[in-house]
Amino acid sequence: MTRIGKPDRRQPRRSKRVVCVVGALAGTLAVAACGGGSSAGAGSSTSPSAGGVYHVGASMILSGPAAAYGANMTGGMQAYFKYVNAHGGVNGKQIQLDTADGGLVASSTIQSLKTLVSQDHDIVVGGLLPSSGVQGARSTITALKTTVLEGSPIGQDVNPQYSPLFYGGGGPIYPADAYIQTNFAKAQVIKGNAHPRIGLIYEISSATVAYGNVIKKLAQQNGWDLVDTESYQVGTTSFASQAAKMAAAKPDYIFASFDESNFAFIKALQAAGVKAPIIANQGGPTAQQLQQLAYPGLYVERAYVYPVGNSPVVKQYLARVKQYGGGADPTNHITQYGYVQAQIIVAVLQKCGADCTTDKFTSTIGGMHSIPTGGFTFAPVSYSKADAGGFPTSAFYTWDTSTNKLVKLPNLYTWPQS
Amino acid sequence: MLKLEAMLSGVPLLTAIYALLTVGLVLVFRATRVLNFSAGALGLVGAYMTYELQRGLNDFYPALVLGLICAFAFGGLAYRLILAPISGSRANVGASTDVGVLLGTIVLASAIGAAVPFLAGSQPINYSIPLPGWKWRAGAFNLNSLDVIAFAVMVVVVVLIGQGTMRLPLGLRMRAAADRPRLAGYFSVNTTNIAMVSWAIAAVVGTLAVLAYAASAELDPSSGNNLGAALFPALLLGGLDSIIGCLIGAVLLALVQSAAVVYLGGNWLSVAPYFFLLAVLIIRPHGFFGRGEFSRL
Repeated sequence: MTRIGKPDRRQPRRSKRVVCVVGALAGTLAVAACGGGSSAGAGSSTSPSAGGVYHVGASMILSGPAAAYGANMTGGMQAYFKYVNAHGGVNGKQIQLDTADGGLVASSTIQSLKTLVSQDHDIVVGGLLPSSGVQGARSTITALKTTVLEGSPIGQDVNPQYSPLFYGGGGPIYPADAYIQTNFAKAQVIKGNAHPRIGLIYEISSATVAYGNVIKKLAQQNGWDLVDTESYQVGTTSFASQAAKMAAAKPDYIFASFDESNFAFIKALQAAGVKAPIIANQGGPTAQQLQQLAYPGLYVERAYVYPVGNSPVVKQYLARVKQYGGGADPTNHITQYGYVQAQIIVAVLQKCGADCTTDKFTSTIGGMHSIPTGGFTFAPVSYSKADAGGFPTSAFYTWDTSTNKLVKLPNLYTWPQS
Repeated sequence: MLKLEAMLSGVPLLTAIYALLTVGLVLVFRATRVLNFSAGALGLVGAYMTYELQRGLNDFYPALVLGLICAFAFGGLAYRLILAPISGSRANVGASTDVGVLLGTIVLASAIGAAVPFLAGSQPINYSIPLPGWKWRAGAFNLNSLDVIAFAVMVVVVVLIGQGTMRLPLGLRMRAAADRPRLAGYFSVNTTNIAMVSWAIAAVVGTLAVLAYAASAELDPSSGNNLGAALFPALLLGGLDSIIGCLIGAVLLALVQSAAVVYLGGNWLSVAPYFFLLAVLIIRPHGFFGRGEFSRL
């Protein structure tokens, strides 16, 4: 390749440039990885937390195509922690949130857990902790002897409880989602149709694959005809072909476990002419997206209230996320996961006391069977050895296209059923 | 048969999006010999600027024109202020195979990916373009106005860029700067300006691609990186320096991706194109239309 310039002078300069750019790349990624969370500073206290600070860790997805998850979860947690700190803290101590990029896979999740627990001495680790990461990190969590709150738990971890260290800290448990949706569908949507044609859509992760398997099993048990199954990866750029395939299968009803791509997928289904009612999980559309889609018969399962309207709990939440959330999207369900997970941690710390240690936190949370959320969830967060998921109760919302209003349907659905 | 029809439903729009992005990559590669990893991110910036202008003006088409002008300026400045200093050689700023420049494009993409949510928020935006609302269906095959118009725009852009690089003086200077930069310099070709223009045009076509994607799905900060990561098989299939090759590569990538999700399942979406690419490169190491001299870089 022809070049201009003096090779003898340019070569060292180029090497320096490469080094500089690699450094800049590393720096940029480091900044991205830090996200909105406070960095884990050197000289962090050891357990029990000293210096008037509780160190709380959070393993998040802070990079890659699902990085928005981490930003929103961090924002939700900070919104509540900073609010509490601004009002005197817990037991006279402030809460410091240390974040680490756990990504979507076990190796990075393990690394983030070790960093948070061993280096930063966090007494509890929350965050999103996706099922795909936690499955491979079970032995690490056991060895670290630190309680983890999984933002996206799978039934095998919490139902029944895998160990006294595992708790749900976000959405409903994915196989439980499938039972709740099926019970709702049978009671409210699939009425008088003995052999409906069912479509199934889910985002690919350990948790949602488990969800899909339960829906398949329940469809078989109920005599439903599963006519099409579509799965997709985070970051998929087009759903047109899959939507067209679903349309061709002519389902009467569609069960869906969505992620952030829900809006794009439903839009593609509409473009393909699909009109079947859709029963979606909490990752389904936000209230605003429900309005924009105006899809008749789109039902969204929620363990949390939709953050719209003038109820005091919603107004408080929106104000705190705006003030302390670092730009997190308050309408996103993951932001709500973070907010309520922080509520759980604060409640446990209050009971655990000013001298709370890692071990003491674990024994305290194990004895808390009902943690109120002030109406943010449809039932208090409940933990037991039989079910440490925390969020067994859901309601369903839909957008009433005739009145152009968000409607919460009257009944609550619980799994496991008491 | 229904599966085949369903599979083809996604192909026109995906082809348009991938071809628009890859033609920008080819243009930059032709002018600078740099594989630009920030193509999707540059398009994302242009798309957000267009969206903000659309909100301010309350009219899409003037906003589109202004947005593309802004994207042109941003692309050119991104090269002049960030990539050109990294390439380092003032005399030959536009023709570098430097690893530093390559990494610089990755840094730029990462920086844009981090900055957009900070500046514009992380909420996905329901983006729409005022287009005729007609749809055409045959069995499971669906076609709507967005598919057709995006494809038509892509064809026009590819033809204009293809013909422009072959026939216009600017295109000839681009090729000269890339192939024989020293000789081009003797003939008063300003390689820095040539590189800036190629980056500016790439940002414009990238903006069109991201807008087409956003209208079909939504506009969110991860769109640029998702699209940018997805399109490299198209570029390598076609050959790094071939305009027609990038079009063929885009069609093949769209076909392979659509076939994979319809026939094999969603978890094959990102894997299948690379299997296909591997098979093609074993037979044709430089892609379908690439010239061997470039694949050695």
